[in-house]
Amino acid sequence: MALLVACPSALPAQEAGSAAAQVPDAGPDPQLVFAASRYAQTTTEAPASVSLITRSEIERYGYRTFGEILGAARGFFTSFDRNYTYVTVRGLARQGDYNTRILLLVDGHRLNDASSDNGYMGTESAVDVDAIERVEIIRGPGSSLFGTNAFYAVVNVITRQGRSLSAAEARVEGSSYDSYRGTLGWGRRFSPTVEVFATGSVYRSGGQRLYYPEFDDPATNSGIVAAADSDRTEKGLAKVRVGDFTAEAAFSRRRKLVPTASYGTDFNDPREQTSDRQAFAALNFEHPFEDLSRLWVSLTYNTFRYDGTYPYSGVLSRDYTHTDWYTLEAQYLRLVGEGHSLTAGGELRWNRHQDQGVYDVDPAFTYLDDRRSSWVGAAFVQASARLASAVQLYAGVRHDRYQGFGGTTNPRAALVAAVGPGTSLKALYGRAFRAPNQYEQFYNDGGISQKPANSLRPERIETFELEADQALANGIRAVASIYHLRVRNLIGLETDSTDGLLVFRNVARARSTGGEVGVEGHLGPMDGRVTYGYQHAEDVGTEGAPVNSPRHLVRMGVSVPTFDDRLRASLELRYVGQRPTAAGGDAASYTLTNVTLLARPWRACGCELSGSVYNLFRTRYADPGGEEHTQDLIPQDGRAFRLGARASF
Amino acid sequence: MRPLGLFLGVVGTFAFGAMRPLAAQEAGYVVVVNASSPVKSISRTELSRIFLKRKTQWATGETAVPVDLGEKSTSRSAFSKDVHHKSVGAVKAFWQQQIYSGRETPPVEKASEDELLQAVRTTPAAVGYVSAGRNLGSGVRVLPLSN
Repeated sequence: MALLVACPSALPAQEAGSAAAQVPDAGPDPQLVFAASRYAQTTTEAPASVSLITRSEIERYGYRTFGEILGAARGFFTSFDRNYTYVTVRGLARQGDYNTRILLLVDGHRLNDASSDNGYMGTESAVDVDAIERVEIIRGPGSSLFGTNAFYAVVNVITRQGRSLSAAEARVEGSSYDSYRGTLGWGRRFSPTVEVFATGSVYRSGGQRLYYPEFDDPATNSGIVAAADSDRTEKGLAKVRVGDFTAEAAFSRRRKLVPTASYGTDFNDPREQTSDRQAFAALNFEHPFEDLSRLWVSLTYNTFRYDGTYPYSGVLSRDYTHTDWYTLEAQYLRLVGEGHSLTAGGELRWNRHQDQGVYDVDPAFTYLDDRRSSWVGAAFVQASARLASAVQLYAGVRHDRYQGFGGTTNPRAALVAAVGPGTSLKALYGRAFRAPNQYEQFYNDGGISQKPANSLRPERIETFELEADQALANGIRAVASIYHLRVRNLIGLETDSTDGLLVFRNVARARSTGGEVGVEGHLGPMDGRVTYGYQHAEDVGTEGAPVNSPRHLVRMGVSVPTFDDRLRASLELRYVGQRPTAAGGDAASYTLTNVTLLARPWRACGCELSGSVYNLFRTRYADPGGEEHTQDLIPQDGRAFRLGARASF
Repeated sequence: MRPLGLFLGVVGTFAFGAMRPLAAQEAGYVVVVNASSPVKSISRTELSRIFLKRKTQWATGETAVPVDLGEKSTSRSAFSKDVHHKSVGAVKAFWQQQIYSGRETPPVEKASEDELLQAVRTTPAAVGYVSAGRNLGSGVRVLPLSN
């Protein structure tokens, strides 16, 4: 597909003289990636290990959540504690980490919240799966371009554009566990300069009746949770592009009942629940100048509200994080000579509210009512120079300045070389950071058990990676990579020996060494991919594998069209190796088999029927629970079904 | 950081260096249009805008159809430097941004000058370029550059 960018004559819709040559009706080229360099380039040119997952793959394989999409990528897998979804990258993730070490972008806008860094990936994610055009997954450090959180990876969700809908579109689905979802969308490309897209969705899940042997006692309903697993979400997104300006806004709201009695709460009490609301509004200006240079300016407003309710012996305790922030970003790209470029930019973020608190409802008692605001400023520059006809050097650096700990400077360098027909090699080095967040710095319960931290330093990671990419016959592509990650200053809770209180400190180091191989492409009418990842991650000091870190990951997908592509069958296998648990045990390895049938029998009406079976062979598996759970292992779903119908009109 | 120093030197040279206009033939290419085209001549600036799709219509109101050659063509390289004042690589990078932001797709590319001439011959509103001194055949004529 990269060849199509270099040689657009391969696009049949662009025959000279046809009206179609003037107005593209397809989406953006699926092999172009933005978040690797903050400008568009092909995946083989990009100075990073990149995976792209497109909407057609999302539909073919029946991915239900953003986490399922990410879990299809090399080196990624997700786990679920029946409330939030956690992503592990190349064997590294901290228990209790709400994806704070992955930068989550939607159309280039940061979503990790300004108080606790959460990057939501499950049903709690900001964007509905039906609104996604494709997902850019950039492995490795991204702080030289994006600052904090771009630690293990940058994930950029590209939402659909008006052109991807003929007009209006409706989708309904029903699935196991009394679950229903409805989506309405509308979009249109009026001209090359005017485009509109809007979508909204509602999801309801009654949840499951669950059994936890850890609570198998008559006093706790014999370990059975009858009705405390429901999930309700509402999401919406709209964007309008007029010339150089794009306005975009999105909101999402989820309420999830928590069945696991986390944090020592009362078992089988449906009042334990979390509520997450997030929204953003952005105004973007993107202007190409006559000399082909380009200016991007954006002003974004984000708001994020988490509210948790936890029953303790009948008394409701609540905690919250209420955050909103403004971000002004500008960047300029200048194209110079034969293949050189220079990008420079800056970011100013005003965290207007970074409030958090804990209180009991009745009898009323406030443990924490912490209200703050802060500034972050940053500047970056990235140069790309063609050293020889097929060798590109990338060098970039970004300096971030925080009101709290001061400044941090993070460089990245990469050599990308085309060393033969269809063969490219990448040598990548970079450093990244994660700033201590408001929760880690200031959360406390008034000195009962935890006190605020003093002088936390940013977490740091250094990454070395080599990647080879080989284009084979018939559009098949093979990728192999090896990497070594070194992490220090990891922030974790420990007990202060002077007063016995818990406090966050820079306590840990970790490293991961591994390799990945993958093949993807077409074989006759079929298309598919298979990837294998080996990762040897360990916590420095204990020399043991981190909790929830498997050595082996395998992903395989194959999709077969029949009846002139009116019916498509897709099969996906996901293998996750054995992982240590928090209590020193093991979560057994497992293989999930998912099957999706997609039927488009009446093309004229744009109708589509789909049916999926997840965990076809009823594999029994469990994910390690975090420290907040009594359960060392949290059982996952058995076989589940989903039926859906879509109509365009 | 030596490569960066080298790179910044290149930046200065290309960003601020003035270029003396040459005759198209002198630069190694000629601009061609369909023989029926009413357009008598065109400036480099206007031609650049048509190939970058900043200008989409001829003065007659007809939709312009620019036709490019492949990236490795020497005529394309000459045309790009003389008309866009940019390398083929820079123009390709420009189009990647345009495609990604959903604005426009680049002009159709033809694998050879013969194919380009055939496209111009059969498309009244087309404009392209081939190497100077080449036999154009019937149905295609040279479009003179006015500056």
